[in-house]
Amino acid sequence: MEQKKISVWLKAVVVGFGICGILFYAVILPKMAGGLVERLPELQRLYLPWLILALLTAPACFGALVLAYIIFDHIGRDQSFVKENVRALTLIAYLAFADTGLLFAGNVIYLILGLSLLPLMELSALLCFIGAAIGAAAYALARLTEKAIELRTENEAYI
Amino acid sequence: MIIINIDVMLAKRKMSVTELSDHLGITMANVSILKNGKAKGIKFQTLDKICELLDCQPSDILEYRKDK
Repeated sequence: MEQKKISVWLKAVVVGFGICGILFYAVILPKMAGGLVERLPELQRLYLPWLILALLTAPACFGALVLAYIIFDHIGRDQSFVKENVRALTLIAYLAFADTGLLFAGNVIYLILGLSLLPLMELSALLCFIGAAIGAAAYALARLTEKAIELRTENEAYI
Repeated sequence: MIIINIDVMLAKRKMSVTELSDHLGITMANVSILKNGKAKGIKFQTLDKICELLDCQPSDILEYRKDK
């Protein structure tokens, strides 16, 4: 597949994820949690704190998607190994680590305040693991891209 | 230091830099960098093409001189 075609597909995937993300944060998550509270009224006190924590993780996710879109746009223009991509990947890594940290800290605070449940803690731990993995992968990719830029620059100095 | 004698060989063979650029398939700017000894290195492939065009040996193109 051509680089341009790959870029278009990847950008479409990012836009798709963005739309799904908006639907999840704006509609699915509040409705799902609301439905749960309706069935189990004793969880009412957990509803708002956990909804706020979940919504607080949204900006970093959407920020990472915007950065991913920019990277895929560069790939389409045959600019895979450029410093802008290194910066974007590093920023994605920081966003992922920040979001992971936020979720973990929120979990600990809610546990201390008695606003936590085992299933919620398990789900959060899984999300923390995914977030940390994304952050580590993005950071490694940033460093690899940086190295590739160095190698290309050196190669270009040989005629 | 390594001295590039492309200029001398081009003059001997009465060839232009443009001809060399066309034969090597590289830009005039890169030929200029190579000619002025500003390149970090030269590929064997490039050296081969230069020798082919100028009908000479690598030693006619490259020369070692002790730094003063």
